[in-house]
Amino acid sequence: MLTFLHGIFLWGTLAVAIPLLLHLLSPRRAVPVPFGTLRFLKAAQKRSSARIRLEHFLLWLIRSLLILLLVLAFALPVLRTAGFGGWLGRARRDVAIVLDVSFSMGYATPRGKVWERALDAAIAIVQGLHDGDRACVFLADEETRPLIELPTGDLDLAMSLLREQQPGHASSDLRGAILAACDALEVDPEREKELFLITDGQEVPWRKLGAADPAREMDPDLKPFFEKVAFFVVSVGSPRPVNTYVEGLRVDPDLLIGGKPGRLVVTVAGSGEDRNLPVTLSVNGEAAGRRDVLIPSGEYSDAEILLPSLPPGTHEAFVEIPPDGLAADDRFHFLLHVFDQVPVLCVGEPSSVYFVRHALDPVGGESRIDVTSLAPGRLGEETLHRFVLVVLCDALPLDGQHILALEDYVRSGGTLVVFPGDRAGVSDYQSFNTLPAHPTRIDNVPEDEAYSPLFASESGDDLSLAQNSVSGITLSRRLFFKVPIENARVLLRTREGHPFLLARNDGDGLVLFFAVAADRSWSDFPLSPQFLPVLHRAVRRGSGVSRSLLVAEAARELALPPGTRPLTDGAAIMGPGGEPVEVRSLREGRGEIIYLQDATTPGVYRVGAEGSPLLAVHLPPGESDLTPIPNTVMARLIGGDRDRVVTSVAEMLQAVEAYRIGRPLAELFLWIALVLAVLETLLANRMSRTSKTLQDTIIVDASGRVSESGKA
Amino acid sequence: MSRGITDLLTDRQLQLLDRLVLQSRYVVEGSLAGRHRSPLKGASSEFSEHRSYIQGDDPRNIDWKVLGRTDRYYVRRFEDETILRVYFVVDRSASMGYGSGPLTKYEYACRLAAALAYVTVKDRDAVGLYLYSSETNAVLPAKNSMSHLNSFVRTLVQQQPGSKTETAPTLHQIARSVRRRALIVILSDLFDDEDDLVRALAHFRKQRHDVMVLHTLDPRELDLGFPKGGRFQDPETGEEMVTDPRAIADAYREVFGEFLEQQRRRCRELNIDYRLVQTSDEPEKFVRAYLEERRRYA
Repeated sequence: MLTFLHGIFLWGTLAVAIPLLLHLLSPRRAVPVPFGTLRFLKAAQKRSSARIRLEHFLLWLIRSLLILLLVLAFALPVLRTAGFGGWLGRARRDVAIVLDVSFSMGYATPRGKVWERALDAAIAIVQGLHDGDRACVFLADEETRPLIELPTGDLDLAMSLLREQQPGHASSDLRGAILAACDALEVDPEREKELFLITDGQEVPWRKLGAADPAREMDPDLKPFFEKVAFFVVSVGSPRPVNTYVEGLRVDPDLLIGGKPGRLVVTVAGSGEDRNLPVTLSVNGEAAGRRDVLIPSGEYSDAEILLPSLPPGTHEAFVEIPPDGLAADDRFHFLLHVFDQVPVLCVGEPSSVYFVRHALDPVGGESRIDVTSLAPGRLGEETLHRFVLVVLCDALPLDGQHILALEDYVRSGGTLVVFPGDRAGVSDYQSFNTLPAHPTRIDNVPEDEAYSPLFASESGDDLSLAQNSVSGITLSRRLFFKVPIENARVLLRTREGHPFLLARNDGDGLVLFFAVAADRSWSDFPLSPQFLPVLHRAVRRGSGVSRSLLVAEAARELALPPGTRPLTDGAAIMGPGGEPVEVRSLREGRGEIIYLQDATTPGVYRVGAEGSPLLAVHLPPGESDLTPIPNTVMARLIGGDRDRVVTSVAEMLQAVEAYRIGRPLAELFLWIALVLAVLETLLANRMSRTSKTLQDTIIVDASGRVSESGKA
Repeated sequence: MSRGITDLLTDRQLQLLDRLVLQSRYVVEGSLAGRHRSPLKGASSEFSEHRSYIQGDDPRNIDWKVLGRTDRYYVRRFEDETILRVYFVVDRSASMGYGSGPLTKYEYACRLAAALAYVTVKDRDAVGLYLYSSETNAVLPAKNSMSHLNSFVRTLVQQQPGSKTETAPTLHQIARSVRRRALIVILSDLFDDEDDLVRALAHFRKQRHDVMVLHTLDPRELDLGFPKGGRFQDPETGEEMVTDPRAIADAYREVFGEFLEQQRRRCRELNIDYRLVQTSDEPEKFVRAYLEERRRYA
């Protein structure tokens, strides 16, 4: 059944009569032509009348069809398969709506908010369903959230639930939501299935679907579904979004000590166009600094702002950029923890830690490094996460429990320095998994090899070591390492190439392993010029646990990072708006992880009624990159149907209509009209062509003698 | 005011025709001595045949040598020579009034007749005229004077085409009226019933006339070269017909070709000299070419 989108043009079908009228009127318009006799004309006409009639009929038919097709093409005909469906019994359909609820959906343009357009599209989809059709809705958040998990025929419920939604504070997992929606559509295989992904066309979430790979076709996990499901992408975002956001920041030094200067490095990124804008810093509610920065489109720039001298304690701060289309990411909250002193733990007998203690605090308190000494057997009495650096000086062998605690400390960001000693044999190191290498033997160094300069390797920049020879030391004993394990590197070597100092990153932390003891029993290294700076750089590097910057990305389940001050039992956590935040603790391995539930609102989360700050939460910066994905790429990733990628509600309705009721036929009609026009030209030319005449077939000589052509 | 031969032919054309001769292919009968062979045996010096003597023969014609050899009487016969009488039978029916060029078929036929008549009279032969359409409209007896030629031309010029064609009955009538052998020149488009027409021509041949048919046609009638369709009108019947000549050109070529072929074939069977002339040809050139050829074959 045909329907017409511009039915008014159907009046033009009356023009089909024009060729017939012209044909009927043509004898009246014919010019009188005197001729010798009609006798032969009549005979010729009679002889060719059948052919002429056929040619005229064909010509009339072609011209009438040509006009008819042109008129119909203007009327935009659509072949309504649903019309047949209604006769045979209309097919029921299940529709899944995947709604992108990432915070980038809150982008506002002068024409309106992206989110409102997305909701309009979602509601239009539900409104377009008929009795018996069903819908399910999935929200693509950082995790898939089913709003209506299984297709329901209660379309009013679906619409009311959709209207209640707001964009979230996280990025979106489109792939997961699409897979969940496909699973939901599998419930009833007899129904027609449609899946609508309503998103802002931001490239970031499409990367999981392979957007970054130009050769990537449809996701193999999705392909089996898409053979049965019609997939529409409704990309309601701005085609050229402009957004600037704080991608990250760091404090230099990592540990801020009361009264000591520091600086804040703010990384600002942007998409859309080059921008020059001010970055302002507020600490404890007061303006604390400002820096102008130029951000090229698609790139980032660092803005360095000097931090004011802050007293020890935790300070609330944020950096801010001028408002733009996406307001949610214009302010970046964080906490600055200013230490009074830097806590360092030295584990070992007093004689073993002597040089280390004095190297860390050579003048008694001026360095602000608070060194705690502990005998190896009392290691369990201290909370390791309180210290920025733990130094083991001939502390092995240790209990397995203590070794596990040390490994956990390292993996959660702590820095561990290990000096060997006479107490431990090589076997005592084997169970210490976080070490860069396990020693195979303890060598007594011959006297002729005792003196050796130390050479820094290329990877020595962990501790800012110079890459040439640093100085010489005299060795009497040392650990011999055969093969460093994964992620390990040699920072210092002896002249013979033996590793002297190894390092390894494990988890978020760092382990430094010396080949000699921390006292003079194995070498004169404690007396060498490198000893003190190496330790101080290790302290500086070792701020991983108790760093000054306290901030975390928003998440549905936010695990409190190490270094967050411990919570007392029953302590209430309040969100940025003063709303209580649910806390859940999970014992994992040897420790306990505290999770904040629904910590998705950016801002400062506080503890208890007094409101002391606990943690600052910021939005995931990746989601702020609004670089759009081209429609062609989206089409490729959903199976190559360009018509199924639409950018407005109107386009979506048209595409859906075209899919559900058939394709528009205007283009087809125009092609047929073109073919008919060519046929008409050929036929008309054939009818008016100059054929051979008698003059061509007979020869009449000058004397009037007649002979046939070729017989002359 | 008609002046005569110069109404139809220019001095230049007449000059071109001066040295030409129209000869009959057969013997003709005339009342005056001339240069054409006559069926009558007369007093000319050219021996023809022997014949047994019968009473009444001139004894001067007895061949004494034969008598001496055979002891029988034979008389010698000699060929007679006479003038040629040429009758022009010109069709002035309405169809002859058609012309796509500067001349209608009738005007062209008049020019041809005048040219041939001029050649004939100049050679001291006689020309006569039958002008007909549905009936005989004008008759001029055969005479061989220039004044007669001028009358001949004036008669042609004064008459205009305008009636239906009745060629066959008219030719029968003419055949009956011309009793002595002569050269009959028919100028017509022959748009008549073919069977009747051939019977009329046969009538001439039966009377031993030398017959020449100058089938006069307009080039458009041959090629139907109209650029577009129209309402075609028949000048004799007044009928009209709407058609597109381009659409029926092939069929017309076949039909008209068959018509021409039939005329040509039947004339050949009757030993009639059939010529196709088109109004686009120059009359004096046709006459020259035709008479030259006729002289060669005479």
